[in-house]
Amino acid sequence: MKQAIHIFRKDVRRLWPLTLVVVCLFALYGMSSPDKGGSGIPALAEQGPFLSILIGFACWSVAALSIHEDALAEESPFWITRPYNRMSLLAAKALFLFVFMFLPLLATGILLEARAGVGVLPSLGHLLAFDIAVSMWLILPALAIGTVTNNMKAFAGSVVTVFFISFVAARWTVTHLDPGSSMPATNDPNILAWVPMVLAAFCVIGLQYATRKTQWSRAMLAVAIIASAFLMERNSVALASSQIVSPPTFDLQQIQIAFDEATVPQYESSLGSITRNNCISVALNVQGLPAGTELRPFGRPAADVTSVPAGTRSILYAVPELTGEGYREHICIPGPYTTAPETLRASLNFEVIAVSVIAKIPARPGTFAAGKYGRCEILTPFPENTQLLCDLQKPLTGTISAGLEYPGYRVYTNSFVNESGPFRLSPVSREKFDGFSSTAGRGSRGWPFEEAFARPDAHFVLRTEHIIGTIRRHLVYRHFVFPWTTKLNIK
Amino acid sequence: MNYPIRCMDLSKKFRRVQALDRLNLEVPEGAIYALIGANGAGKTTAIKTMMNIHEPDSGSVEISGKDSRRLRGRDFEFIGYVSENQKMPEWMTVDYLMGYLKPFYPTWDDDAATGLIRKFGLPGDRKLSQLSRGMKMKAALASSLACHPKLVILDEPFSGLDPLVRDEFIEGLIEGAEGTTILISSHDLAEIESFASHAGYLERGRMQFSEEMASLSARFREVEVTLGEPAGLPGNWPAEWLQPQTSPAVVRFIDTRFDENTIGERVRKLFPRMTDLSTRAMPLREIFVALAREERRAA
Repeated sequence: MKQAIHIFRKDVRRLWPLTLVVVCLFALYGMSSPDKGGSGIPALAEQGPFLSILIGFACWSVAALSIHEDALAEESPFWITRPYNRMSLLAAKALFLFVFMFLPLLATGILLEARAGVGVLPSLGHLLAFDIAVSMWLILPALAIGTVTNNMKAFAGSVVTVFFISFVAARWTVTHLDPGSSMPATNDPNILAWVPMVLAAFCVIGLQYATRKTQWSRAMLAVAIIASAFLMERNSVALASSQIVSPPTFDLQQIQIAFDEATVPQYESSLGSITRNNCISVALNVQGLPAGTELRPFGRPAADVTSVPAGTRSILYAVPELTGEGYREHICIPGPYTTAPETLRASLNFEVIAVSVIAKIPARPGTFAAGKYGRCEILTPFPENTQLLCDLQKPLTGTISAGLEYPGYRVYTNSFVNESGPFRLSPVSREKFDGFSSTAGRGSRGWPFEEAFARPDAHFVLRTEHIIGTIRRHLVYRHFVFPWTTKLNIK
Repeated sequence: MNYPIRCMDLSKKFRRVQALDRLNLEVPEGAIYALIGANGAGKTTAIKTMMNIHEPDSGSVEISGKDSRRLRGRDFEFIGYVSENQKMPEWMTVDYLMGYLKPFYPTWDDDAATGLIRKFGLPGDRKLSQLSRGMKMKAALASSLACHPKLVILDEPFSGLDPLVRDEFIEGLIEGAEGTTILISSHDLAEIESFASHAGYLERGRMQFSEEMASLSARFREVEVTLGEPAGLPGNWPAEWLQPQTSPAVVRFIDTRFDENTIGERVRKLFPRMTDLSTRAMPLREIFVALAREERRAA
């Protein structure tokens, strides 16, 4: 233990500027979100991509640098021929990460809960468990990659490779797995997917610190990454299949989905440079879907675009959505852009869901009955942070979703309750329904409460959803021509 | 006799390159053993295998009686290792490095550390990143010697050092590691000759010879034979006589099995018209160059 403390003190001396940055970032997160209880990745995501990316980047950097301080990979490090007790070394690194990552994460969570008016003690166990899981998710992969590299350049290269392999493996899985096939699933596709990654990360770290067999460790990590990527998509498909609660009363094959080539696509935005990636929305023509049912996309769509002069390009973002204007496919098409006709192809997975409305609530501040199931409150403690809180007393089955609707706008989210069975919405932590959801609309910052409050025709809808089947459809748009030649600078 | 380092039929292959080929090596206790060989002969691989940086494909290495594959933490308490390629903790100052290493070594000697820093002229408050290559090597050596190791292994420590720094390095090594077993691989044969007690010559991963410096110096001689009349090289030229050169009435070669008592007779057998025979002791560098040339010729 003395040796571990000695190494820990050295690491603190070496890395204190970066650890200070991490602590400050966590503090910033805690200070800037007084009313959004919860912690971890979902809560971080609510702060917008910049702070999330910054915290993730800082955490990964500190984790990798702390390991590289006494690197075990390769042949040249000074420490591998010094009388280091490897267990002490590992303990020193664990202590370092505990003090400078886990504790700030936990402290931020506690601070947020306290500021949200939730008692610290009742939520401490929950926070601890959640932060352990988040630490594993956030830090463990970085540690594993850190142990098989010996500098930040190699680390960064490995991270890029990991993301590339994951992307390729996930893409392969999407195009080769049939929804509806019999596969085991957990309630959260990401949990099962991360099991091989987390297990491999533990094994790699153990193997490296015990035997320093770097090549074996790297191979193990690569296999785990591929398995994780594969499982993430596979389980996403399996999950949807496993949640079918009742067989459909109609033939799923009668559901026809196609690009509506008669409707002009809408230009939405550019993703980065306007010459590199532009996002459009294309209307989908859906037929054969009975009343009371909807389609909900799941899994990672696979899509590409081809033209003679520009060749075939993979599309990274292709998300279908049910909007106020019906189903639309949001696609970010990569350049180059020409006047030549393009062929868009997309393979999409959908859950077919039966929906039942529980209640309609006026879109204005106040307390309202949620049908016969309980009551909902729309609070406006701060104009920019309006919350919809529902306390539903009656047990319900399926997934609860809530949506805001008014002419031209229709966005639903079911992100706050995932499991079927009895449930209760509360303002505590992650179960709080606060008007924002990462799944509520593409690139959405949440429902536009202020605009909705100003409209008498706006209302919230609470409903239950049951998956009754899954389908996959391959869509082709054969003669797509960019109508925005001036905007895209197409000559 | 104790052998702190023993390599037994040690083999190591990197893809298609056979770096070590059934290498056998014994370093006696207290010896200063010079491991010499051309670039790519396998010196660094051998040393890295000894330090458990590489694992052998076959054969084994024993370090102080322990299989190198099982060398772990505390085993390094009595081993000092300095390599030209070692990645040092550049952010540390010299003083901090020494202070940091101290708790890891039960035999750490503060006085020895201070003495070595002073002797090497190392600026204690300067970061390693701000030191010259020579200074860094000296810092690495000082940090390896301050614990009074039983075994010191140096991999090409003189590479890129200027002569003055080399002298200081060697002086510090000899004084700081008195009585310690030292294995040193180097191309700087002139320097090694001045203090090595044993030498081993590695060629394409195999040990060609390994012996005491005294017997090595005695075994190699440059021989010059003056003849009464011009003569070519006879067909039955002995294999142990390397690099024969002829000018009209003089033949020169290197005898690798020199015996003062028999050389005259052996030469006369091949050159009956010999009028004069002179021999010259060879410095280690010349021996090495002769062997390296022979190796290239054979290859």
